[in-house]
Amino acid sequence: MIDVLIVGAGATGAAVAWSLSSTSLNIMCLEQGDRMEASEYPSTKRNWEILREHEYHVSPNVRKLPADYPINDKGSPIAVANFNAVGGSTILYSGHFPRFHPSDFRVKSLDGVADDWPINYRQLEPFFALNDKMMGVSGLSGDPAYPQIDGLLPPVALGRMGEVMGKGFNKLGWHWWPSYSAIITRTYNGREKCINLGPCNSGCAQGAKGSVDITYWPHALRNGVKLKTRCRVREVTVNPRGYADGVIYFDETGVECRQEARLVILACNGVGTPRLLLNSRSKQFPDGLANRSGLVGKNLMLHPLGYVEGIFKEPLDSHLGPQGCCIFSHEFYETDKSQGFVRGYTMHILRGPGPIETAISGYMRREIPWGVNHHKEFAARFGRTIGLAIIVEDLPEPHNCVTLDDDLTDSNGIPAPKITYRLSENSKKMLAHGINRGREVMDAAGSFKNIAFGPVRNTGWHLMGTARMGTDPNNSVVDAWGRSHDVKNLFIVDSSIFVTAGGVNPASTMQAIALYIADYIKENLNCLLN
Amino acid sequence: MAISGRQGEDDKREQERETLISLLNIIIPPSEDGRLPGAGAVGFIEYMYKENLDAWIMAGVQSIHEEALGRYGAAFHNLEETRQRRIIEALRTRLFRFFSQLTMEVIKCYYQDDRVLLAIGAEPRAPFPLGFSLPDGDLTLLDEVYERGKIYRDV
Repeated sequence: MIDVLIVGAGATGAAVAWSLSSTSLNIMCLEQGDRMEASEYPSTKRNWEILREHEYHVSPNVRKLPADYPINDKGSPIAVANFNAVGGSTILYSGHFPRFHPSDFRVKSLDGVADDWPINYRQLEPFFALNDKMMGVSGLSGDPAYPQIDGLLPPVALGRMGEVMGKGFNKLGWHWWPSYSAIITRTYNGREKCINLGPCNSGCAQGAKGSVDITYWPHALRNGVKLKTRCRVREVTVNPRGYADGVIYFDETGVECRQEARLVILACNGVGTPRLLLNSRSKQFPDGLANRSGLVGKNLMLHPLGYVEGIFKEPLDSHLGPQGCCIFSHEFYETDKSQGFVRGYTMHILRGPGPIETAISGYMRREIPWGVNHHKEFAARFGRTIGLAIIVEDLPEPHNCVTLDDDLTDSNGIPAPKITYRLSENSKKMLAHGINRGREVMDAAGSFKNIAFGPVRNTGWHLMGTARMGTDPNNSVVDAWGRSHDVKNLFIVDSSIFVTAGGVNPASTMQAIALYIADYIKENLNCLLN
Repeated sequence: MAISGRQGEDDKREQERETLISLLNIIIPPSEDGRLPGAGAVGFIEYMYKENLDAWIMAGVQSIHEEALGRYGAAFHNLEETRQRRIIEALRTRLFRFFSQLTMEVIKCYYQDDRVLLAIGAEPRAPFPLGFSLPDGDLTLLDEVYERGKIYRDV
């Protein structure tokens, strides 16, 4: 019997493990993936662009590594992207690290849609700051889109392309700011600074990007947390009194094992957590654990993503620099009902593609042809292309959901998740608006040709809402401290507890919430463990 | 008999290899200024075997070879460019998937070649450990953004 069992060693599992490790608790974490080896990341190899299409692909259905479980996402225009390892999806994320806005926690009160959160920005502010300190975050204070944020390392290099886009935003009088990036630009806590390797989204060999295997985990392990890898949890079990008493999992050899625990914390993301809860059926919980509300798996939010690409005449070296971090704009983030939709979106500037991706996408769009013109058309694009992602806030809708697939299972025979999702009219209007504004800013920056489309399929990184937080047990899965309404010693700390999605990458906010929940657990240990 | 049969096979294989090289140079020919090689000169055949792509690629090449023999009575690589293009055009619908997948693989191989990378201004090396330098950028461009004042909503 251990005191605390955490399922999942990704962004939030790591944060909560580290925070709880300051106590004398006996803590164990089970992770289905393995430890990563930075010296093996694609950026250490000449064929780095190719490797991203295989073992470092964003989709588990393409990678099919032993750590991965299949996901039936045929019923969704957006496919799930994730990574299963110590570090979870932070291994492959771009490190774009904005916080939710204060208004994101008051959606119902301000805009009359969805629900308010039972917590707010001010409550989370110290945990945002603590998380920034642990992860190492660069950016620039004074951003008019946020309350004051301090303690940032200098921003990542804008490069020529960042300046060009900044001037474009200025021409339109729109907000822009250097990205908040979980990428250190100075030597920090024994980690070396960013040297612009480029493909952050296939692992950072330099260790400059804050993936939790190199930020939180070394500290948590030093403090005595036990981390068992290649262990896939099948179900959380409950005792006759309705308390969680442990888990059943498959170890790396496929042997079914049991681990008893006094407190169970789930940190498996917005798909993995509802999958585990729905797979944890018992007499007390015939519809899945902690699911008396019927909301486990419901209200999935994925952040539909639009893409605009501009091609510029002048060389910009746009293929260099941290791929997903440069500058962003929150000009259209807060609700303006005159636009025909509620809530808003981020415009997120991306570096241009490498040579192989430039040539392949140009060929597929019939712009880089066979024959003598190949070289001319390639040269017109390589290093002169800038991407812009529109991150749309989708609202919670019960029909967008994670369920269990009737047939599909993982390598241990555990039923796989099935995604059902469609874009609402509000999301579609917002996406169209964002794409048009994206074209506008590309034109203002001097692009001579734009390509735009959305929603982009393989972009379902942000998995939110499937075990939502709330004060009413009939209308939420966990309370304001991530504690299950139905199972009092079961906590959820990942982004499945989000009430709404905001319009920014969720990593910073979900880790801050995980630290906030860990604090609550520490303050109430006696009550929780007895 | 067995020896001449083997000889015939070897000849056919050599002709198909030549057909492939001609096709590669049609997909990406050498640049007119000579700085960039054609795709037939970047080790694609070795790449093809290393990546286990040979079965489907050589099956497609065989179709091209047979079309050339049937239509003009000569091997593809011995035809003038206009005739080569006519053959590709004739097979385009039937072999659409082949041409498309082959082009992707040619691009992947081509843009890993040292001469190609140097010619397009990219360094022929892995990004790590040297990384790349980038200008920090002019942050005074943000003055006007800052001066416009806060845009987030109070709650």
